[in-house]
Amino acid sequence: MNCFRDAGPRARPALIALLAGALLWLPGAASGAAPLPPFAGAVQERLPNGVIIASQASGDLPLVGAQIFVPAGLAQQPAGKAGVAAIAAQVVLQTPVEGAATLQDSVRQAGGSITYTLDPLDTRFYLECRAGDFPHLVHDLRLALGHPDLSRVAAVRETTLTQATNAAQNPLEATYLMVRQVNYSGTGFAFPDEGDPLTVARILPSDVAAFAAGYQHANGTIVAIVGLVTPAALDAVRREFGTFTPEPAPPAPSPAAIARLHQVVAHRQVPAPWVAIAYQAPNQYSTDFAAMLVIEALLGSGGDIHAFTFTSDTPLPDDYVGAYYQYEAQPGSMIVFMGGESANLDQSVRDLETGIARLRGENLSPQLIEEGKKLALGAYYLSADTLRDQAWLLGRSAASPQGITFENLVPQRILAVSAADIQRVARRYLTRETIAIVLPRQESQ
Amino acid sequence: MRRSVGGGLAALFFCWAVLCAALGIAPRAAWAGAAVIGDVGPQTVGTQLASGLTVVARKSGAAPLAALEFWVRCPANGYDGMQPGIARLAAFALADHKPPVGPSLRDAVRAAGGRLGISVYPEATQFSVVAPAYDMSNLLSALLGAVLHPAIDQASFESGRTRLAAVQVAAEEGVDQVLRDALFAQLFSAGPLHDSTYGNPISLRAMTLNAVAGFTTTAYVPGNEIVVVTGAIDPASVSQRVAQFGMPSGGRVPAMPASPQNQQAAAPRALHPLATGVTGIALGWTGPPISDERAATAMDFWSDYLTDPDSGVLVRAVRTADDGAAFSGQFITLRNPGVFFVAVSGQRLDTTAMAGVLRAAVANSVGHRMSDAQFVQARDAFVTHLLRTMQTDEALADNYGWYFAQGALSYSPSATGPDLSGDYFARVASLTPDYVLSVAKRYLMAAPSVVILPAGDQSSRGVSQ
Repeated sequence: MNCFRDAGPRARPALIALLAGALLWLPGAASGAAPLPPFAGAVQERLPNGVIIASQASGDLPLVGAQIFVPAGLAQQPAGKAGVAAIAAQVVLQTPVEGAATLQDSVRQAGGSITYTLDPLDTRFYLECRAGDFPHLVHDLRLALGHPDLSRVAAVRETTLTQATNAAQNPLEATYLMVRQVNYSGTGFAFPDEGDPLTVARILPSDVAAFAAGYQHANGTIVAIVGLVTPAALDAVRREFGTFTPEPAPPAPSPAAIARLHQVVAHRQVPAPWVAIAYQAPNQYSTDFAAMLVIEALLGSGGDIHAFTFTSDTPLPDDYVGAYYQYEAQPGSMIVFMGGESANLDQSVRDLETGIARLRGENLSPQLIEEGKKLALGAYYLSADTLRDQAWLLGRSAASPQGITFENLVPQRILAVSAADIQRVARRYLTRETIAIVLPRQESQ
Repeated sequence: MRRSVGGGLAALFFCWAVLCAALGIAPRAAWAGAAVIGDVGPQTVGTQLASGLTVVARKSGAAPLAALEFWVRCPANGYDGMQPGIARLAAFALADHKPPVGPSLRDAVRAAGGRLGISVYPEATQFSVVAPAYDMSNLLSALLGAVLHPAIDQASFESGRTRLAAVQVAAEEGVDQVLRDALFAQLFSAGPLHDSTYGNPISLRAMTLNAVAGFTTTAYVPGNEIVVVTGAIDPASVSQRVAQFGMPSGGRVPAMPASPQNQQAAAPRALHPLATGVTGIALGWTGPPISDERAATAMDFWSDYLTDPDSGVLVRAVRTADDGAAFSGQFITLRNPGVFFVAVSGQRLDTTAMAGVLRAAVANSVGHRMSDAQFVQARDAFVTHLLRTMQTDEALADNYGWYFAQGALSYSPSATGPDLSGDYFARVASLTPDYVLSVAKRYLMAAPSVVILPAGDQSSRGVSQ
């Protein structure tokens, strides 16, 4: 087996391009001279009941990855039931499917993995396994989705309660949550992914059953499958998801509009303050999406869309500096995180505000725009290097108005972004700030 | 072959090369002096150029990405064994060196929106670039320019020193790294496997520009090196492009210094406590050399059975004993011997009790033969775990590089396809319950080397190993 890759210290992105001034060499396809190569060919079909199946074959190895998007996400959690999405998804994984073996056991015995991710507008179950195992494992997943074992709710609730309590101590989670409380007021996405300890403690099996009923709506369900996609795998997906009920899922609630600047402060047991400055932003299917991706690159992205998503197998970051663009929510949010060390936060905030003012201004150099586009393109392509992320991107594309061609359209749109686009988008969105601050707790507190 | 590669002459060459390989014919490469090497996977071109440089190019993946890697066999602590960290400093300096025309490798990758990784192992250094495929050509030139004609000036030397100082600090804070380094220092009495690849502040202070430049002159010779390119590429044209890059003249391939085993390795060794207060324990056993491919594969299987994060026997034993403890473990395939290690750490870990848990779980695992059904299930799971770790272009390239560095390129697990062809998976298919048990008993019933990271008192904290 291979040895372990070096970890090394993580690079801390800064507000690079805006503040640096000098530009580096811009190679290759930079200015759009060379055509952008497409992703491997994909196919999309819609079952009679409305379920969308998107597939993209790449048969290097006998592996398959499938993202199953079901239209029940964080935003759809009822008032007072924050945490039910996490509990319901975990119960699905803990549901017995082959004798006493749970779905998770069954997949692990085959060497595969089954995880879930809570998105603003859906829950994603991700199954990765050998191509030959896929038909029976996707059957197991379908069984668990259809009949989650509610006797597991009490045990899962205890685990979720612990997670919710721990997450509340994470300063990054705290600032991100404060932003969401303002930007998504009136929806379930305004609450912590794991739920509030107070609400989690009150969630009953009947609440979980009601929420998990949302997993059965064909309209809004997308199965995106990549890797060694065989006819048997596609047949299995058609067979298993062709029985979903055709009724559409209830629409997700819309958040209240933001009319003024907000500043929210909290205290945590941290050595240094954290600040998040947030703006409303276009979502991924907006015509302004590509321009906002370039702005994110210019601000110095600290990570990709998955950096703050709540998944069953990845802990939340305890260190994140730079821009984070949450574009899966409606509307999206552009959030810049700063702090966590003894940096001069006041100066950093002033630098950011100066940089954003510059984006809104008239004098963006062509070189600056080119650099931002290169970085945005690179980030976009590099965000799809695993089967999991390729399936995620394929599924998001299938849900777009353009269908699966979307994943190849986004790079073209990034390439077409102009200085005028940057200015227009910055002026439209980067105006009313929400500032969330986490300060070190004093002894008296 | 599932897909054709590229068009025109390149595709013709590729099909011809694959046909020749399938028929057992050693074809002459399309460019002067290059020789096609053995089967290294489908949609893959493997060549050794006249200069001695090995090149593997493979079309893979669905995303328009490419992974470009360069590996050079070299001792991380220098050819005299007296300069721990020199390979890392050299690699950092090469990546930061600004040539007369164009940017440094690091800047070129960043400007392209790509990702540069530098990993230094005891006996090899790796440069890895992942970037959109449309920039592959430019970045390949930048990478080859940096490493095939290694140049270090005062500015890049200073930059490399600064980076090395930073990663030394980070490595000292990583309990896993500390335990692993200490375990290898315990298992090997000298040589590259003995010293931390990060070196230490004293060795860093002693390094000079001349020493680092001399190290690269000695180590970075084509016969020591491999270029691996994977992703949305045309393998034949990429290979040809590498061949056409201005090659240095051959150069003598230096011998890798030996890493003799420590005869007193079984005596437990206690480390200085870390400032973080984390405690830990690591156990290590020597295993089969890479030349014994079947036994090395059996140890890979056994390692997966014991250490898989979801289902490993040792992982479950550790969780039962201490749910908050962090676990890592792996069999590392090396020239001779391989090493199987496990490490456990935590804030309130009882290292004595954990040592007992680990030893008992290992002893129990080798104490009985798996049933045929259990074995088949475990072997299938092992294969799936392995395939999942190789699913990215970069991971495929990693495994080619690692096995090249260990002198067994065609044994690389990457040299396979959807049908699980290739040397490695043929070895997997040959495993039986009796054989894997016999290998496990041969190596894991020996007394392990043990290193302990104790809690210590507050006054002694801050002094790290």
